[in-house]
Amino acid sequence: MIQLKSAHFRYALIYVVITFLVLLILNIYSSKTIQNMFYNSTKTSMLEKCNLVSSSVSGLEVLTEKTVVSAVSGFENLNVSRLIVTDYNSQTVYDSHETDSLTGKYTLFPEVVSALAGNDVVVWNYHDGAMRSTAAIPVYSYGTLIGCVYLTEFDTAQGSVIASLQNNIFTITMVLELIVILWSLIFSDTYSYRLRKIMASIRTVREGDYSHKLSLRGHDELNILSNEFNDLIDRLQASENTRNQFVSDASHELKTPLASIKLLSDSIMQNDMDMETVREFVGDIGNEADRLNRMSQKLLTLSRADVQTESNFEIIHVAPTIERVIRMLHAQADENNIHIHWDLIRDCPVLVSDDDLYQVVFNLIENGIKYNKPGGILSITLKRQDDNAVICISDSGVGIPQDSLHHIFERFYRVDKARSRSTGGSGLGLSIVRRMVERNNGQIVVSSKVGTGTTFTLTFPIFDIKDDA
Amino acid sequence: MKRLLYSLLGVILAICISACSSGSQHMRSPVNFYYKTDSVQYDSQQGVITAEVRDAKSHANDYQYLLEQYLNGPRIAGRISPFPAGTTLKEFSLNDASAQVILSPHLTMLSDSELIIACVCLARTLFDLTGVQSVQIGAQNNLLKGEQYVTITTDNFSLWNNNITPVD
Repeated sequence: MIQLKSAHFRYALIYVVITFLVLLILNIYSSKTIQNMFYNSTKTSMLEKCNLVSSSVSGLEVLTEKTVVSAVSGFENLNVSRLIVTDYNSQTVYDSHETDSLTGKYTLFPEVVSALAGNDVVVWNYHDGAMRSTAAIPVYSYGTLIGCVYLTEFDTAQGSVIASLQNNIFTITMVLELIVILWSLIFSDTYSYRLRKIMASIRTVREGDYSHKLSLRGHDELNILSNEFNDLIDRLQASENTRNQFVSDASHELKTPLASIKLLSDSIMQNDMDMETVREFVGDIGNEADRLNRMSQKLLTLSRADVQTESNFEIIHVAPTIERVIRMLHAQADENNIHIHWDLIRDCPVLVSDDDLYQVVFNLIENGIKYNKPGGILSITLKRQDDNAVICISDSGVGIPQDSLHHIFERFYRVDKARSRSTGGSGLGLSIVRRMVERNNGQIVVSSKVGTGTTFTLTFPIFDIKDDA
Repeated sequence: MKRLLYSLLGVILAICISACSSGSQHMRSPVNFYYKTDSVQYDSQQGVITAEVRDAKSHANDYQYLLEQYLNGPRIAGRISPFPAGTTLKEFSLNDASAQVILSPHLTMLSDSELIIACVCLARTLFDLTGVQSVQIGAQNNLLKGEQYVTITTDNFSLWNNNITPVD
C-alpha cells in the first residue's frame, strides 16, 4: 500500500518527475534535431533540382508550352512529385501532372508568387510519417524575370525513416523511464527502510531497552547517524547504570545510620539502663543523625554541582581562597595534632566559581587532616607552571593502595570503610571534588604511596587579565 | 363560388411565382470580399488570397455599391488591397454568366503576377456576389498585357497545390 504522504513515495515521485522532464526534453531535442537534419539535406537537394531546371529553361527567350516541354524533357528522372514552370504572369507553361494539369492556368501558389517576386523559397514539413517539401525559384533570362520553377516532393520513404527514428527514441525513452520508475521505487524503499529501522530503534530505546543496537548497511549519512545513535544509547545506558548504582548506594548508605538509630533507640526502650548509659546511647543517636545530615548535605552539593552552569564563574586569585580554608580548618588540624605548612604565590588569577574552589580545597585539606597520622604534616603549595595554576595538597597519612586509586572519585567509594565511618566520611567528598574541578575547566591528579602519604594536584588555567581579556 | 375559389388559387399562385423568382436571384448576405494576404505563412494553410466577411443586408443586390466598397480596401488586419491606391470603379455590367468591370487607369500600374492576383481577388469576389462563371477586367482607355481585358474564370487559376502524390 503506497502512502502518499510518506517520504518513500515523495522520494520516488521527485525522482520520477525530474527524470521524466529530462527525458522529455532530450526526446523533443533529438526529434527536432533529426527533423532539422533532414530539412537541411532536403533544402539543398530541392534547390539544386530547381536550379537544374531553371538553367535549362533560362536559355529560352520566351517561356511557352512548346519551348518548355522540350527544355525539361530530360528531367524525367528528377525524382519529384510535381514540376511546374510558369511564365512571369504566373501562367503555367509546363506541369508534370497530366491529370488535373495546370497548364494554361494562372498558378497562384504562395511559393510561386514569392518566387515571381524574386525570392528562393523552400518549405518543408513532416506530418503523419510523410515528408512534404516544396521549392520555387525565379527564372531569369539575361537579367530579366521570365518565370519560375516550382517543385514538390511528397516523400514517404524518408518520412518513414524519420518516423522510425522518432519511434525508436520514444521507445528508448519509455524503457528508460520504466527503469527509472523501478529504480526509484527500489531506491526509495531501501532508503525509507533504513529510516524505518532507525525509527523502530528509537521506539525500542524509548521503551527502556538500552541494550538495543542499531545496525545499518552502507557508508552514508544514515550510517553515521546510526553510529551516533548507538554511541548515544551507550552513554544513556552508562548514565542509567550510574544512576541506578547511585540510588542503590545512597539507599544503602542512608539506611546504615538509620538502622543504628533504630537499634540504639530500641535498646533504650527495651532495657533498664542507668542514666550514664542512656546518655551515651543518646549521644550515639545524635552522632548518627549528624552523619545523616552531612550525607544529605553532600548529596545536595553533588546534585547542585551536576546541574550548575558557568554563570557563576569569576576571575579570582587562588591564594586568598586557600588561606580562608586553612583558617577555617586550622583548629581541626590542631585537635588532630597535624601541622599545616603552606607556600602560596600571590599572582595566580583563574576563571572559576569561588564557591566551587573553596569547596574543593576544603574537602581535600579536610581529608588530609582526617586521614593523617597523629603529629603528621599537611603541605599546601600554589605555584604557576606554564599557563596553569597548580595546587598541591600532600599529607603524610596512611596512603591509598594502588588498586583503589582508580575508584576513589566514585560516589560512596571508601578505601577503609571502618576508618571512614569513624571519621564521619560519607564517600561523597572526592566525587564532589572531581565534579567541581571538571566543571571549572580544571584537572585533578592523585598520587599515593601506602605508609608515606597522598598528594592531590589540582590544575586550573591561568586567566591573566592583560593577556586574556 | 367557383369564381371566388379560382381567384384565391390565382392569388396563391402569383405569390408562389413571385417568391420563386426572387429566390432565383444570386443574393447573399454577409458577402465575402477577397484581398491579398499581407504576410503569407508557407507552412500554414494560408494562400495568397484571404476573404473578409462584410454585412451587406441593405445593398445585397447593389453590385455597383458593393464593388465600390470592395475597392475601398480591407477593414481587417492581415489583408491588403491588391489594387493601387485611388483605383475606382468606372463601369460594371452583368450578363447571365459573365460580368465586365472597367476600373480607373490606376490598374495599369500593376503588371505580371501582381495584376493577375488583383484580377483574381476581384473575380472571386464577383463569383461569390453574382454567381457568374467569368469576369472580364479592364482599365479605362488602356490595355492590360496588350489586351483590352484580363479574363478570369472559375477554373483558370489555382491557389493551392492539391494534387500531391508520393515520389515514384
